[in-house]
Amino acid sequence: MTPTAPPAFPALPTLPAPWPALGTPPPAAGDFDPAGPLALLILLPLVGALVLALAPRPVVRLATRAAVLWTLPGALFLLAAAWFGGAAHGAFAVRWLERLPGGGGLVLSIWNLVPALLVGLAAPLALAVPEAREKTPSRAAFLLVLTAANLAVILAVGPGVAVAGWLGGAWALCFLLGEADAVNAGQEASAPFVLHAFAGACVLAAALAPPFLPLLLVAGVIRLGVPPTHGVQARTFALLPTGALLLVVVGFAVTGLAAARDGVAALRASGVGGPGWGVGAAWLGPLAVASALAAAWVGFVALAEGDLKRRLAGFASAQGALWVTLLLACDPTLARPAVGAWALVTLVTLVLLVLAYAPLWAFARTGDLKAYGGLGRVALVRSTLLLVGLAALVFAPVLSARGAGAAALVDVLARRIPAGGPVVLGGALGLLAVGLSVYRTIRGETAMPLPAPDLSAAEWCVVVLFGATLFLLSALGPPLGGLGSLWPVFAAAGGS
Amino acid sequence: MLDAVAALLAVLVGVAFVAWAAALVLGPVAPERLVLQGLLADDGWSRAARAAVLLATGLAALGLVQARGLRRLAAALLLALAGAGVALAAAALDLTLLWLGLAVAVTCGPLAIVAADDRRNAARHALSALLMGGLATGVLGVSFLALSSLGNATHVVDLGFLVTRYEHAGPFALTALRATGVGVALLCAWAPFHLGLPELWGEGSTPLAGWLALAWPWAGWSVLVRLAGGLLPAFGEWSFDAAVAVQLFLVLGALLPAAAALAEDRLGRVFALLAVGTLTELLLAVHAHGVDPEWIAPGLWGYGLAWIVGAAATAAVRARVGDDRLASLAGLATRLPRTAFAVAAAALVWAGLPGTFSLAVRWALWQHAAGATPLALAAIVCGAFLRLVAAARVISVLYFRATVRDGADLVVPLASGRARYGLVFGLALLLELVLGLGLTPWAARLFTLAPVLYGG
Repeated sequence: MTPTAPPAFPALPTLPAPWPALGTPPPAAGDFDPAGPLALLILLPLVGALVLALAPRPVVRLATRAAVLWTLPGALFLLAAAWFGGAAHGAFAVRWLERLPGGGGLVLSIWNLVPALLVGLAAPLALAVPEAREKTPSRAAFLLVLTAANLAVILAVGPGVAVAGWLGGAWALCFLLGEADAVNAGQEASAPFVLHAFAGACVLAAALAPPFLPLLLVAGVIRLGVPPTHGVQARTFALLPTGALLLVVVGFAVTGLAAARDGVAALRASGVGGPGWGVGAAWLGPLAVASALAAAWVGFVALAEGDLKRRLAGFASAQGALWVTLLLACDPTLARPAVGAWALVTLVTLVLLVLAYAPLWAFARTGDLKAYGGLGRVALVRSTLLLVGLAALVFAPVLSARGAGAAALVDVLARRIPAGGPVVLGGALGLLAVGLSVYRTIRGETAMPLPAPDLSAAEWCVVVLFGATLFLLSALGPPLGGLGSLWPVFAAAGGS
Repeated sequence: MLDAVAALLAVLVGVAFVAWAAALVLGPVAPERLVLQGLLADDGWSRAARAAVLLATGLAALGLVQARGLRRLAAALLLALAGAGVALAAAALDLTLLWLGLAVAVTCGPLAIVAADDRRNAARHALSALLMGGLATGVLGVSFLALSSLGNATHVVDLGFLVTRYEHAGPFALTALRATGVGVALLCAWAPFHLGLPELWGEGSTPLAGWLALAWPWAGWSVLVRLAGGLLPAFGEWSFDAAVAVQLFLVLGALLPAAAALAEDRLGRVFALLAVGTLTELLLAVHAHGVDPEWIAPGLWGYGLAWIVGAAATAAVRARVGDDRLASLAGLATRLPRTAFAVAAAALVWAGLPGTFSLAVRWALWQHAAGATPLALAAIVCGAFLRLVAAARVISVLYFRATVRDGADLVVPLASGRARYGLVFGLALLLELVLGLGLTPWAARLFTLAPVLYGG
């Protein structure tokens, strides 16, 4: 890391964000160091996947169990970077640029540290979380590939690495789904793959020609599961193993939001006299209304689901539609910090919820809501964790970025635009869907007794780790970090 | 005894050609020069073509295991002769020599098929190849005749200045050039003139079909590079026509074969159609004012490496399973994990595997050329998406389907045969990765051709 002496929150650093490199020139070649730790962040999981693929039969079981080790150095490195930036030397101290031998480069900066940290920490959890089915080498390998792909998208300086990351993520998802869907001979893997490959194709087109930059919005919408892609997302969530679900929730959401943000920015810039199709800004209003209606629709759909994983998918889709609506309908200076911080709180909470439910899913081997109930009577700490998570989801708009999320919602309602009512309804219905599920888990009757379901020592470690992460993120300080404003790329790029 | 000696000789020929190709790629770069009083050019393009054809011929000679005795040796020598024809065409600056090279290449190649393989299908493939090659050379011959008559010259540099000398000659010359485009399209598999090639490349005996798939596009592109270099002075008038034709070939070629690959039920044909789509993308290096050989040569090298990876995997599948129908490959990952991995890797290479040379050159070409032509870019991206889905279809058959219960028993080939497939596959994939990551100066060598005389 190359510390630079920052004055007290001067002009924003001129480093590329995870995505603006598509539309803005990359830093000068002299700023880049040779490939090093950032490249290893991506390469190490890929090497792990290769080792798992080539491991001889006697050691393959051991290699599968030890797969988590390939992700730990990356997680520790990102934690150290967050500490360095947040606690020791100030947010702007984090500035790390590397060039890759085959062209392209990687960057870790205040602009993308938070999403990178989220994915980096979710990766070891995804490999260590209890599963309903025994861990297989191929599943572990493709979890590692998915980790590398998501990190490549987040850290990419130029479009080449980013496109590779998007398509790599689609392939990893295809294999994870196909492996999980052995009963139906992998038939369910096709639709999500085609959809996510299409998203990758949109990113590819956007990467090659500026007039196609608004296609990033389509790619983002697909990754966020916004209708009409919510059905595929629900099937994907229901089918995926718990670890893969965790990684998809975090990785696809952060990359999808970044793409949606850039797509909206490109659309906004492509009005009269701007580059692109020349229709840009005129589409923002209708698209915002469509997105708000989609949020309401998917909220209703989520409420009707009888499967917990599908409800989580519905909630994620509703939230995704809500965030896209805010990006489209609000002024960027308001929408971006609101959406970024809201998303971070939501994603951290979703990780905690998935971890809290993981042992129950592993035991019951189903996501059916009727399989769980009465947790409040036998596992008070886990129930409390679920309630805390639910409360965090409910108050996320107020908690994040000094209430920027709530302010953005109020702005949409106050302007009485058609998107206002449906978007609030969609958000509320999504929350209700998850809330009712949690309520049933805590208070309802169970079809089967749950064995010793309270928090284990390992789970306590996870809770403590996430507490420490939140502390580090909050230490990044306003206006760029912490719970005051948690997604620097959104907060800082307001004017672009 | 005769069989052993012939086999040994064929192997020696193959090894010698591969070593020669390596020497051309790795050796010191000599300055470009004209030979035979300017009739031939020993420049970057001809050297790149020579090395690629030598590699293809050497590998094909090594892969000729079906033929026995003198037939094997005869096939290797016929392939060598055909390769010499392609090399001659790549170096020729004179229309007569250019046509002669093509004629030798498209005649001897099919003869090698019937010499090496005595099955009924091989005869059919040889006849198809002969007809297609004959059609292409015939069309090219007529158009060359017209051009040389209009310009009263056979050297491409003279043609450029002379062909538009008379006002009324322009339309005739343009028509001849259009006919040349059709002839080249037949050799380079530009849609819609690609229709016979998936069968020829995808179902033929693997080493021979692979030779055709590698060498013919070099021959076709050589015609285009040499003619474009010579006719550069005339392109001021014909730029619109050229641009429209290129766009048409590009859009059709990006979409049609990729869509057809989704409906194919044989692995070889799927790979051939994916290859045709990839090959078409090289048209991005053709523009209204000429051709960029420095983009086409590495593109053809990347395509060639991908072909070798795919051909080795297909050959391994045919050797073990007996045929390459996708239905027979269901659940292959559980029966033959290494072979399934090879097929999956080959499918991924055709779809675009990050870190490989073939994708690196395609990416560079897209970035170089696509920004200026949104329509072509849209077609290229759609084609890439369709090829991705086709590759996913192959992979899902291999990994996500139940094993065929009533399928035929697996063939157990000789260990030497299995090792050969693995060796060729591994070497080609390694080269793809090493060159793709830019770890050696060879990658730069393939990208930066020495200047192409009268062109580029």
